[in-house]
Amino acid sequence: MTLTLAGRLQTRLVLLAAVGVLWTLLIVPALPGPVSAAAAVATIGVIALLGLGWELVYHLCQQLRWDKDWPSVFTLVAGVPEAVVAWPALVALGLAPASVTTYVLHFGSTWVVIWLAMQGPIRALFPRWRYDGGLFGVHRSEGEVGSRSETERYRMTRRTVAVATGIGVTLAVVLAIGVTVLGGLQSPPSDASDGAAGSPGTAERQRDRGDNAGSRDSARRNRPIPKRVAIRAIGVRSKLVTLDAKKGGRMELPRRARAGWDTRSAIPGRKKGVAIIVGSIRKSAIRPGVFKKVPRLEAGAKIRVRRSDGKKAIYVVTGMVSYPVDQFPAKYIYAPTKEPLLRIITAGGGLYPGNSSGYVVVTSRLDATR
Amino acid sequence: MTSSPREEIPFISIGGGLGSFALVHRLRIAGVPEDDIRVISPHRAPYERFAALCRASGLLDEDKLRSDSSARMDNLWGFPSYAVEESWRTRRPGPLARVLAEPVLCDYYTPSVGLMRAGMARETDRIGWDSMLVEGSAIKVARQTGGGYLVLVRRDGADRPVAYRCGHVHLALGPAALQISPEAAEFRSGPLGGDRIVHIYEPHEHVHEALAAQGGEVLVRGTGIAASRVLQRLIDDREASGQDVRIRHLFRHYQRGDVGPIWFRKRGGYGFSHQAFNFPKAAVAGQLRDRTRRLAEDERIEFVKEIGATSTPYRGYWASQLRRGRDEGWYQAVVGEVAAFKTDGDEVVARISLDTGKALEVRAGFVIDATGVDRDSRRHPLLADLVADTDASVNPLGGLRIDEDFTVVGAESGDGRVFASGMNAQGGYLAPVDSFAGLHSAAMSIADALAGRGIGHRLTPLKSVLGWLKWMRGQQP
Repeated sequence: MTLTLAGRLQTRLVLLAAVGVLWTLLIVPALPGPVSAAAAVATIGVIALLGLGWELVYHLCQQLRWDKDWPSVFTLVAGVPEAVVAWPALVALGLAPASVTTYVLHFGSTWVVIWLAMQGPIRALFPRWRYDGGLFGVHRSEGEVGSRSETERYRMTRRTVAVATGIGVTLAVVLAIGVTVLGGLQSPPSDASDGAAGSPGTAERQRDRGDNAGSRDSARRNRPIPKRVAIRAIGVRSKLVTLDAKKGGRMELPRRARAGWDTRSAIPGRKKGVAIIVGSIRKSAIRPGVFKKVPRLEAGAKIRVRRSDGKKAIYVVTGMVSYPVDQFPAKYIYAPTKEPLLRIITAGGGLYPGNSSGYVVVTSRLDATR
Repeated sequence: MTSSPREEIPFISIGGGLGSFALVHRLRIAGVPEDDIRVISPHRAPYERFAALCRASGLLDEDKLRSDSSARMDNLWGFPSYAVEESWRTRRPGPLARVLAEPVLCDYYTPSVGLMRAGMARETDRIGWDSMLVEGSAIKVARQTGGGYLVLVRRDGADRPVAYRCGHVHLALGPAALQISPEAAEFRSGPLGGDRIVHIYEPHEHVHEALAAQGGEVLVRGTGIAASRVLQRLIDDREASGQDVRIRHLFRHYQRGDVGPIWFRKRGGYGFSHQAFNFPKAAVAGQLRDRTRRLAEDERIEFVKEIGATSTPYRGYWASQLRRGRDEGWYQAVVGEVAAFKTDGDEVVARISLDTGKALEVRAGFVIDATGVDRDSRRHPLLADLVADTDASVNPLGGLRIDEDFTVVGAESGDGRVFASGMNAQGGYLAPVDSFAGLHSAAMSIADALAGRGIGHRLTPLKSVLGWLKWMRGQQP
C-alpha cells in the first residue's frame, strides 16, 4: 500500500472526515471530564489541517527510501509527534480539553481506528484505492474508457496536489504563527476577569519582570524583597519575580513556570499583613504552571520564602479555597490582617481535573523567620 | 475460414495462468456470469504453470515467494492479507508482527508457495473456473468484419480447431520460452545434451543429486532471486552431504555496494543488487507508478529497466552462507560473460571473457543457468500473427504496445478490443506488470474498461463490500 502525495492528502481528509468524526461522536460520551462534542470534532479538523503539512513531511522522508514507502507501523507511530504538535494549537484555539488524559484517549483511539481502517476495511469498500495510490476520487466516465484519459487524469491529479499542498502549507504556516502569538498569552480566554482592582486578572500582555528590575525597586525602596519560594511537599521551587499593579489596577502575571510576589502586599516574614504570591496552576503537559500540583497540598505543609536579605520565612498551610473567575473575593483576600499570612493565588484552573478556569487561594500562617 | 462449429462469447481470455485468473476473478466478483467468459488454456488450474516453475527452481510448499503480504493472488482486495491468514491458520502472531515491522526492523514478510496455492485452489473453485475453461491452445486471433474477434482454438485431443466469436479478447500468455543463450543452446545440441547445462526453470534434480553424491564443480549464471535460491540449495546440500561442492558464480555486472544518490539509493554488495521485490513497492501504486504513467515510451522503458533491474532480496541466511563460502574458498565470484561452452570428457568447459579483458576457462560438472525467461511476446506464434495482421506492435522490452487501460493499441475491431496483461504488457504504463499486485492492478483497469463496454460492472463500494463478504463466506459470486 503505497500512497502518492495526492493520495495521502485525500486519504487523510476522507478518513478523518468519515471515520474520525464518526468515531469521535461515538466516543465523546465515554471520555473523562466535561468534553463538548463540537470541540472534539473541531479537534479532528485541526488534526486534518495540520496533517496536510505532516503528509508533506512524511512524503519527503520517504524520498530517502528506495521503496518510496515505509512500514505501516511507522504510520501508527507518527500519531505521537502529531498529537504533541497539535496540542499547543488546540490550547491556543481554546479547543483543548481540560485534561491531557482526555486528549490522549480521544486522539489515540481515533488514530488507531483510522490506522486499522487503512489496513484493510477501506480496501473492501474502495478496491481501486490502493492501486490508485490512495486516491478515492478517480472518476472514469463511460466515454473515457479506452481513450488516453488517464494521462489527463494525472494532469488533474497534479493540479490537485499543487492546490492541496498550497492550502495545506499556508494553513500550517498560519496556524504555526497563530500558535506562537497566542501561545505567548498565558491565560485562556475564560480567565479574562472584569478587571476589578487588585484581582489577578488577565493583562493584555504579560511580561516577565527580570530580577534586575526587582533589585532596582528594592534599592529604591531600600527594603528586603522575597527572592525564592519552595514548597517541598509538592516539589515547587521557583524564583520570585516582582509583580506591579498596572494601569486600571490590573496586575502583571508571571510566566507560567514562575511565581511572582505582589509588590503591594506585605513582605514575607513581617509580623503582620498579607503577603501575596501569584502563579499558574495550568496542568498542560507542554507548559505546566508552577503551581500545577497545588491541589495536592495539605494543611500543615510548609512554604519557605527566601528574601534578598538572606532571611527565610517559613509558613504553615492552613487552608485552600477555589473560586470561579467571576466570584473572586479580592477585597477579602487582600485585606490587611493582624496575623502574619501568606496567600498563594493561582490562576488558570480549579482544584479538580476538568476545571480549566478559576482561582485557587492557599492561605498559610507565619511559623518562623530565620 | 473454417467449417468448424462456432460459439458466441462476449469475452475470452487466452493464457489461463495467473493473468487470466486475476481478470476473471475480478469480472466474476462484479457479476459477469460464467457463460459470458471463456478461458483458453493448456493447463487445468490457473496456478499450474506457476507451481511448475516454482517446483523446477527448487521452491517447496513451505518456501517463501518474493511477494508482498497484501498482494494476494486469490483476493483482489488483499484483505485479509496473507500474513493475517497465516497468523490465523497457525494461531501464531509471528507473521502479523512481522508485517508490522517490515522492512525496517526485519526482512519483508512473504507468503509461502503452499499458502498461495491453497488460496488459489479455493478461489478457482468458488468462481467456477472449470466451467469457463476450454482446455487447448489458441492458434489465431482474427478481426471480424463488423467488429469483434474470431479465436481459433485447438482443443486437446480434437482434430479440428474450434472457432469462437467473441466481443473482446484478453491476452496473458506469459513467457513463451526459457532464456537460453546461443552458446548454451549450441552446447545442448551436442553429445552431452541438456544434462550438463540446465535452465533453472527446467526440472534439474539430477544435478543436485549428482553433486550431493560425489561433489564437484558447478557454475551458476545469473544474479536474481532464482540464482539466490539455487545457491541456497547447493550450499544446503553441500553441508548436509559433506561433499566438496565448489561453486563458481558468474556475474555479468558486479555490484560492490550501495549505489545511487541518497534519494534513490539501491542496496547491494558482493555482486548482488538487493531489493525486496522485483520492483520497489511504489512502482505498483505510488509515486513511481505515477512516473511510469507520465513518461514517454523511450524514457519509460529506461526507467522500468532501472527500477526493475535484476535483483534479489537480502536475506540474512543467504548472506551468511555465501560469507562462509567465500571464507572457505568453495564459493567464488567470476565477473564476465561466457564466450563459449566446450565439452571435455564428461565435463563442461566454459570460456569466459572477464571484465578485465582477460579470458578464463572454468571447468565444471554442471552449469545452472538462472538468467530468466524470454520476455519477447513475438515468441508466441499467436502474438506474432497478431502483430503481423493488425496494427498492433511490440515495444523494445518485448511487450505489446498498450494504452493506460491495457488495451492493445492497433488491434481494435469495431467496438471490440484486445487487452494484454502480465508479461505481454511489459513496457507499458505499469512497471511490475507480472507481479501479483500488478496483475490485479491490470485486471482492475481492464475490467473497468470492459464495464464501459457493457461487460460486467464497476466495483462500486456497495458491490465491492457484497463481493468481499461472499469471498469471506466462500459463497459463489
